[in-house]
Amino acid sequence: MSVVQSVIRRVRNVFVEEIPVSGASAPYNLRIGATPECPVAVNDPNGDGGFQLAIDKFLREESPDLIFLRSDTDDLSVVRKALAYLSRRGQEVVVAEQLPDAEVAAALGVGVREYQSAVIHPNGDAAALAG
Amino acid sequence: MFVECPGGGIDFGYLPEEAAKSIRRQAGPIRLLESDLQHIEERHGEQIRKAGYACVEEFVQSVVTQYNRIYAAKNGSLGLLVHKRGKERFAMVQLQPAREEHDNNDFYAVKTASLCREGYLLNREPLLEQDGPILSSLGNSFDPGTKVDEYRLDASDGDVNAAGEAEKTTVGGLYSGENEMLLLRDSPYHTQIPETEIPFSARPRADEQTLEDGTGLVKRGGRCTPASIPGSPFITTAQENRTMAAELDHLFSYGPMDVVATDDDRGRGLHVIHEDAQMSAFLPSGDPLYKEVLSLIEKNPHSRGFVANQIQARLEQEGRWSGPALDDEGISFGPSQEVAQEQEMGMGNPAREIDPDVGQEAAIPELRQQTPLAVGPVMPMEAGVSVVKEPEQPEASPKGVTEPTTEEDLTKDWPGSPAKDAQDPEQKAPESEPVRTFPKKSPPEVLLADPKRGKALVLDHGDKVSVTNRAMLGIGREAEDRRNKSVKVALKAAKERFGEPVRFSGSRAFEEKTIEMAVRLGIELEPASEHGKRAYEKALEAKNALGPSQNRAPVKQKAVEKGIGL
Repeated sequence: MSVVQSVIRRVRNVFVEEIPVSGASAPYNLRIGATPECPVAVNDPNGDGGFQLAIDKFLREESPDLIFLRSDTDDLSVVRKALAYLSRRGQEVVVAEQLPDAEVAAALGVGVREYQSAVIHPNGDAAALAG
Repeated sequence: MFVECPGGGIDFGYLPEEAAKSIRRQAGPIRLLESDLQHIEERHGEQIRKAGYACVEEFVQSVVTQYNRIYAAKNGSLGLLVHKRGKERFAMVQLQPAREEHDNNDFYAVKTASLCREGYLLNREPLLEQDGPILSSLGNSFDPGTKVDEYRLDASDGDVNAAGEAEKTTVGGLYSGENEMLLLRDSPYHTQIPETEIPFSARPRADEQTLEDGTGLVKRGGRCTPASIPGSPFITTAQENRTMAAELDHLFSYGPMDVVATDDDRGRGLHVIHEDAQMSAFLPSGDPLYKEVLSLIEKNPHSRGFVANQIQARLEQEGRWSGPALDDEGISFGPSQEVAQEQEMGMGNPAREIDPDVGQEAAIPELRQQTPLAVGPVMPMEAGVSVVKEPEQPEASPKGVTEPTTEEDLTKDWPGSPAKDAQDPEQKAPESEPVRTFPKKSPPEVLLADPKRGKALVLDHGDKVSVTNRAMLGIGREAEDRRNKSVKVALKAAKERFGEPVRFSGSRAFEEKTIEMAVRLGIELEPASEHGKRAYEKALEAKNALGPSQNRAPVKQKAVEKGIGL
């Protein structure tokens, strides 16, 4: 294991916890998961890049078709940033139920109908027309 | 903006005062807004035209002038049904009260209109019903021109029960509790009696005034010819029935997916419809999937995207989807549909020449007859970019990638061009070339995948090449590059497999992306939709215009990753 990997692992262990929503003792600004429950809770109070590390780790290890994002609080700024990050990665189907579909679709650079079609079937028909 | 009625004016029909009183609603004209027309066009336009109507407006008018049943629908809407005993013709228009923006006159807006299956809604209690059209019956009963006369004569000739046989001949005494014939007076809207007796100012005469007052408010819609509408997959009668059911009893809806619970004479169960992909599935109540889907919906009321994704995955896993677009994937490129379309056009559509009243009766049988045409390698036109090598073209003659240098070259083989037309008789000679088939690959071969996560971006199905939904998501240079690469890989694979022109169809955004890439690569396209054709022509024209060379060395750009503070 390289030094860099070792450092990343240490940093990640500091920020990333797998805590079910029901068992959360403190609110988290970002939760990620392959289901709406979003079991992976992330906190990064000092802004050390913990959110991005958590997302990268989650994608690398889980490789889900859909990536769910949510926040335990009303502050959705981190969810929005995570959405923007995933959009820049590209080809990721993100579901953020606390945000309107229109906002998520716009962040991903497609129309609402196209986004919803992608959520329904990420590997399916891209030619989703307005209805 | 109102749509102009085929007969002139903006009132397609009326909810007459007597009928309105009976159902305790406000009387008023029935109008069609442009936005609603677009909705009907997209969802049911193809089916309506296949049933023999020249355009949606004509169909809407036929329903709102001939309806003989009124149902209560959700959110205060009304369902209008044209039901004729023994003639297997049904149709429905859903109305919602609305208000004009400029003068506050009330009207009913047609929200949707479609053919529907035999027996549709017959197990539901209507608010109002009679044998003849409710609107016509409010006119002069002795006017031989009104269709209701024959019904009334039938009913009054003798025993009402005998004459009625299967159907009620009366409204059913909705509020008196008696089964009496509802004697209706002349409709003010129909006969244009003095305005003082009209409950509000929107009347037939108001049409002209409204047209004069606000020409900008009225869309003078031309007759929609089938050719002017982007093609769509063939909708089977069964699918359409499910679609109609979905409009009334939605259990769940997310984007193009609807789940509808039915409890009619055809059985209790769930209809799952994927509108864009033209796929549907029926889950009878005894099916384990029925409970699974219901449970998914009930347990995740706030996660509709997740529910839709799971339903789609389970139905696919169990192989329960049915429909012509069963395996369409993204923008797909497949063999040309030209021949299939020509054959279809050559056969003609007799229903289109039939009087709508008659044609409507013949509509559903005809749909049943034509349905098999949609089966096979033909791609649904709304979905995906499909490409096929034209069977008439010699197999060894795909054109090179070399870009044409003159306009003449560009239009050399373009459909409709003189050169192409001149060649057509030879090309269309039957039995001259063997039809080339492209066997399907199952599972599809992944031509391009996300390098980081291995998710498929381009798939080769054998008979088509497709770009997935996933490939189209994302903004920024990296995502854009990958998107372009996906389309490029798919286009090249399709060209190699099927030759040129490459037929494609898809949503507008994807069509434009495909056209942009094809023009850049010098691959000839065969757009399936009118929009695609226009966009392609525009792109070709732009390519011919003078501009900076595309072969210049790209300007070096500093890649600065600012980060987003995650």
